[in-house]
Amino acid sequence: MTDTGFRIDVDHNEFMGVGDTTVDAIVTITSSENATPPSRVTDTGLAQVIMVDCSGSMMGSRIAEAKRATRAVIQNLPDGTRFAVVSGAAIALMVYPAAETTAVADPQTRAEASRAVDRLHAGGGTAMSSWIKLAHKVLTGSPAEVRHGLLLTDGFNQHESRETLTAVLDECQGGFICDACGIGDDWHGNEIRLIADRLLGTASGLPEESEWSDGFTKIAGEAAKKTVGDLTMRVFTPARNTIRFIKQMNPSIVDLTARRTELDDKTGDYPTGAWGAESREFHVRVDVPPIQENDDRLAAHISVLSGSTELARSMVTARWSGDTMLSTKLNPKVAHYTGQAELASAIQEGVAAAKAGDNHVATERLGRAMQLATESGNERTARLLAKVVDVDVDTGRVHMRQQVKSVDLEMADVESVKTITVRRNPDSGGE
Amino acid sequence: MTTKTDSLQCPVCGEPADPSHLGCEACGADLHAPASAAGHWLSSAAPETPCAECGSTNIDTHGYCGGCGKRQTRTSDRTELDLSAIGAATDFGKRHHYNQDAMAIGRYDDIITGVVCDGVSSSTFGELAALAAAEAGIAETLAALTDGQPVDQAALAAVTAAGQAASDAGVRHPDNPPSCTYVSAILDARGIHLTWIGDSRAYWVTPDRGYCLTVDDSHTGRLAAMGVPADDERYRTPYANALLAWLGSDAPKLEPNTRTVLPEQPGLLVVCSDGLSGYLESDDHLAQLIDETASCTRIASSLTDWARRCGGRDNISVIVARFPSTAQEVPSP
Repeated sequence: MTDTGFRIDVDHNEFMGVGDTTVDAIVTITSSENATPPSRVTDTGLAQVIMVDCSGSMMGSRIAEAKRATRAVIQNLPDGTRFAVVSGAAIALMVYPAAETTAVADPQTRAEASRAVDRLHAGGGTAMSSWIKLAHKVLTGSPAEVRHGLLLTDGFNQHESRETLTAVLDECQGGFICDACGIGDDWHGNEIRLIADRLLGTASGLPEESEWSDGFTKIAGEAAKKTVGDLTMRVFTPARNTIRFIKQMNPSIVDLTARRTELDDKTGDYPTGAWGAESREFHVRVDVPPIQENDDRLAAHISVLSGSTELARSMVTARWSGDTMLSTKLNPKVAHYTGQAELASAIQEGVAAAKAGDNHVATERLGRAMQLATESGNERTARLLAKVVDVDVDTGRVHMRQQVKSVDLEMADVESVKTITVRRNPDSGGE
Repeated sequence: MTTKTDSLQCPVCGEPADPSHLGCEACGADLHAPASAAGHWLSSAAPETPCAECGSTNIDTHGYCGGCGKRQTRTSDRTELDLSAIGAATDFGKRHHYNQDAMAIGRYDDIITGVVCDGVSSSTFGELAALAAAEAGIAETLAALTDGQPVDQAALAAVTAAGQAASDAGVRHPDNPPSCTYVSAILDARGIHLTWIGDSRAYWVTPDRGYCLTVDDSHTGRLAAMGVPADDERYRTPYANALLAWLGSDAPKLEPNTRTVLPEQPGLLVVCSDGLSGYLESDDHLAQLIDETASCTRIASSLTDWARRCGGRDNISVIVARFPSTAQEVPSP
C-alpha cells in the first residue's frame, strides 16, 4: 500500500475477562500535510457561501458591523476560490453573484461582491432553513472538492419550527459542510449546535461586535485549509457484533451512529466531512459475544475512504486475559473521552435547566461540569463555566452566579461539544 | 504382492506407485492429493475449517470469523509433518494461546529441505509472518531447484521470497507489523546448506555430541560466537537478547547468514525454534535426548514433547533430517 498520507491508530481496552461483551476503542484518524487522495472532482479547491443574517433584529450598528466583517472575509478570499454571498431573513436572497451559482474570486469579483454587501439592509423575520436550502443549491452545482457554508445569525429561528429546520438539515447532509456562528447575544446555542452538527461543521459564538471581522475571517480561513471534500469512515463488524455508537470525540463531539449508510448487513459507511491536515478522534463502542477463555475476537475493521479509494485501514480486536489487572484496566484515552462526553451533557442539561428556571438542577449539573472540565484540563470550557457558576475553593460548594448573562449560558452551551485531546503529560499542567 | 495397474507416480518422490494405495510406499506421501495441492511440500498451516463457534466459512486473512468475530489461528497448535527422509513436529507449548511458530518441509528429487520460522510474539500477528515466510521459503527453494539452480542460489532466492511474504502478511500495523525469524536447511548428497535470520537454530548431532551450526542474530549470540567469556558485562545489557535481524515490513536490510557444512560421518540435522533450544543445557545435551533408531518424525515429536515437559514456555518447532539423506534409498518392494 502506498503512503496516502492517512493513518489510523487504535487505542482500546484490548483485554477482557470471561463474560465481558463491550469493546471500547478510540480510533485516531490522522491526515498529514502531503495527503492528496485522488479527487472525485475535476476541480480541487474551495467553494464558499457566506450566509449573513439580515433579519429585523440586525438593524443599526449590527448590520453595519456584519457588512464590514463580511467584506473582510471577501477581501481575504484567495484568487480562484469560488464564492457567493446570501442574505437571510424570512426568505433567502442572492447578494452576489445575482444568479444562484458561485463566482470565482479575483480583484474584480471581490470588489463587485463588496459593493453588493454594502447595499444590504436589515428587515423581516428569521427562517434559517431557507438560507440553508439556497446555499445547498448554489454549492451542489459547484465543481469544487470542498464545499463550505458559513452561517452567521444574531437571533433564533422564530419563524419556523425546529422540525422544519431539522428536516432541511437532514436533506442537505453531505451536500456541503457548514460552520454556524451566533453573533450578538440573542442566539440559541443549541440551535447553532444543531446546524453545525448535522452539516459536520463547527459551532461557535461571537457576542462582541468588535470580534466579528477577525472571527468571520478566521472561520473562513479554517475552511480554506480543507483539501479533501468528503471522507468516509467504513466500519465492518462480524454478524454477531452490534455497534452501540460511533462518535467523533475530538476536536468536537458529533454522534455519527444514526448516519450510517448500509453497504451490507455487516458494513456501514459514516460521513466525517471535509479534511485538511489534522487529526481527529472517534469513540467506537461495539458489543461482541461474551468473551470465553483464550478467545481472540474481532470487534471491527475500520477504514477511511475518499470516494471508493481506501486510504487507511485498521482493526479493533478483543482478547481474553486471565489477568484481572489487564482485563479491568481502562485505556486512558477511552476513559478521557468518556469523561468529555459526560462533560458535554452536563453543560447542555445545566444550561437547559437554567433557562427553564430550574436552579437546583442547573447548579448540580453545571457544578459537575466544572469539576469534569477542571479535572480533564479543559481550560477553555472551565473559563466559560466560571462566568455562570461559582465554586467555593474551600468547601467545593457550587452556586449559580448572580446576574448570569444569558449569552454566557449560550456560549457555554455552544462550546460544550468542543473537547480537548488527552494530555501527553499530566504533570505538565496542560498547554 | 500388488500388481502395478498403471504408471501412477508419487507426487513427492516420483517413485512408481500403486493407485490402490493411499500412501506412497517409498516416502509415505498422500498419493491422491489433488493436482492443485502443492504435493511436494507440507507446512504446519492449519486446515481451513468452518468457525468452531458459528459454523461460518467466511474467515478473513487474519483468521477472524466474519460471522461471530472469533479467531482461529492459521497455524496448527500441534502437528507432525512426515516426508520420511525429513520429519517435523510443532507444539504451541503451555504458556501461549496459540502457535506463533510455523514450519515447512519439502523434497525435490534427492534433495530435502526444511524451514522453521518463529513469529515474534511482541509483534502483531507474528504467526502470519511466520507461516507466510515458511511457505514462501519452501516453495521458492523447490521452484529454484526445479529450474536447475544451484543450492546456494535457491537458498538466497528462498529467503528473499520469504522476506517479501513476511512483509506482505497481515494488515499494515505501522507501529508493530508482523515479523518472524527464519532458518532453512537444504540437504543434498554433498552436505547441508543453512540460511538464517534471527535466533532460530540448526544443530548437527552425532550419537554422543551436538554442535550448534548457527549464530543467533543478537548481541548475546554474537558475543558467544566470538568466544567472549560468560561473565562479560555485555551479556547483561537490557537489550542483549533482542533480535538484531528479522523478517517483516519493518525489518532491517536483508542480510541472511549462510553456512555450508560437509559432514564426514553420518548424523542428524535438527532445525528448531527457541522453544526447544531454550531448554538445552549444552549443545551435547541434544545428543542425549535422541533415539537414533527412530524415524525423523518420531525424533522431532519426542523433542517437542521433552520441551513441553520442561515447561513449554514458548512455542516449539523441530525439524529432523538424516545425513546422508535416505532420499535415494527406496525400500525394495
